[in-house]
Amino acid sequence: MEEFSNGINLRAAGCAKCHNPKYERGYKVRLCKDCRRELSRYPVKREVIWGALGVSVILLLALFRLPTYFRAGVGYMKGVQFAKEHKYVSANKLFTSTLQRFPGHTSSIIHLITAAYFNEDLSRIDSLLSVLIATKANTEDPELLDELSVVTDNNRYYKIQDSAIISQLSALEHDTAASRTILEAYLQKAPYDLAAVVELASIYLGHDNYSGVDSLCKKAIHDAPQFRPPYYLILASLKDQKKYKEGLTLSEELLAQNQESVSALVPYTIFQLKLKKDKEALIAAQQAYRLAPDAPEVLSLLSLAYHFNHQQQQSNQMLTRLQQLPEKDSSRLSDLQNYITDKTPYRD
Amino acid sequence: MMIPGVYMALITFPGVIVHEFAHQLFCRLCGVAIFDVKYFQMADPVGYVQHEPAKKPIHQLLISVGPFIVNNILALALAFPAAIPVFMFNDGSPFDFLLLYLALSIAMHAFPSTTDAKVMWDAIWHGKDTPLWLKIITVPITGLIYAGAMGSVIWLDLVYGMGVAFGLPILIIKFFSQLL
Repeated sequence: MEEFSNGINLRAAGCAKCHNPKYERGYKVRLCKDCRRELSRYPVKREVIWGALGVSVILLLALFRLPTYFRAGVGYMKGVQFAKEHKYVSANKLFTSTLQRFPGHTSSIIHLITAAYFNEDLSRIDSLLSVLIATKANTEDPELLDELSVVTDNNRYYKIQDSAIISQLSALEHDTAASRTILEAYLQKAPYDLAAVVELASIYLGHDNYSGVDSLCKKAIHDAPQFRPPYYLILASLKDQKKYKEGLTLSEELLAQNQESVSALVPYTIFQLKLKKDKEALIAAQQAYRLAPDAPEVLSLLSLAYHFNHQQQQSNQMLTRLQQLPEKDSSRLSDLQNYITDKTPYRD
Repeated sequence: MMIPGVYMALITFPGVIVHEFAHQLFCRLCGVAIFDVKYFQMADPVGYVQHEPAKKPIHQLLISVGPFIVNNILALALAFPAAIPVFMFNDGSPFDFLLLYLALSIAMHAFPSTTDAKVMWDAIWHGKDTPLWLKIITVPITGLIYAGAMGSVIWLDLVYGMGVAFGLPILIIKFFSQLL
């Protein structure tokens, strides 16, 4: 490394490049200030400059797309996190947005099917399952397959398996006694058909046969803990029987499946209010309101929860909102007004 | 399967060019004279920058680890927009795969060579005016460079490149999803 093609001679007495005797002191290689500056700016080869320009163009194009992909990536990951936390309304929004950008993304479709199941949006499950088949989506991820099987296993409980029974029941739509007889006979032969169990329990509830509701629904919950309709029937039964503590525990189980289920938050709030846990009830009612701000039952409950927490102004605001809804339920309104004015006691 | 280093370097030549360019860039920033630059050649070494010994030991450190800084930043910038559609959404275009190839090549050559490490060690550890703190931090850096060089025998450079180009963007996305 003593002599280079660019005329540098390290043995030179002066500057190694221009032989100027005034070289800079303190360096191992003798170079004058100008030559050192020039050599430190060693020219980059033209091919490298063209390559760098090409990479820069590619980089610029890539960076141009980055915000969209970044948002999509963060949104998807947040959706996965919400799903892990069983917050399926939030997860639903994020996976829907991901699928708008990447329509064939199998994981998002499966996560969205799960979210739709726990949000009890059955028509969405069907449409998403058709999308999954149409896109010929293929996954070998065991976690995703397990997740999908939970939904497909439980989703079949929503429809009575014997089509003959379905047609008989639809013919007897208003004859509950005859329907009950048919269902009781059918369940002797097919006790595994949870849709029929739910149908019969619903008839029992209409006839205040609470022990019938409880035994049928408890069995259904035991057989399929993530099939949600039996929970609602037994919660209604427990409310009528004034078994509030039991109802609260069961509604907590339902909420554990989907922390953002308005259908679960409503009975949960009711049981809290009945048990005079007013602060907890208000928190739950506010959560339900954030999820479904126009739902009459939520507005009514929130008004009641504010009332029991001595926040009368907010209670009245909710009452006004309830009155302004296009579809007014006069009995709900008058019940609420009676509870607030203490004309009718809400609690035992 | 053994692939000689020079052929591996040929496949990943953009990384070699960026590596040498990074040395050159830091020489310029530190005002160190350069005598010769070879961005790529089919020989050992596959690229080099011949420069005068740096006057300040910290400049020698920067020149030696320059590729680690430049290659990693550039690799991540190229990989980030491509890794999201390819690895998160299975929706990569040829453009994305080109970006990932470039990013992988560049990240693979982020580690300074053993020659870089030797020059740095001689200048800093044996340098008369080197402050103690600089000597101390040079020890692990040199150790890491040698470990990386030894690891390249078992494709550690490829694993590292894949980590930076394919894994790190996804980890960053996960981090931001927790943060935002």
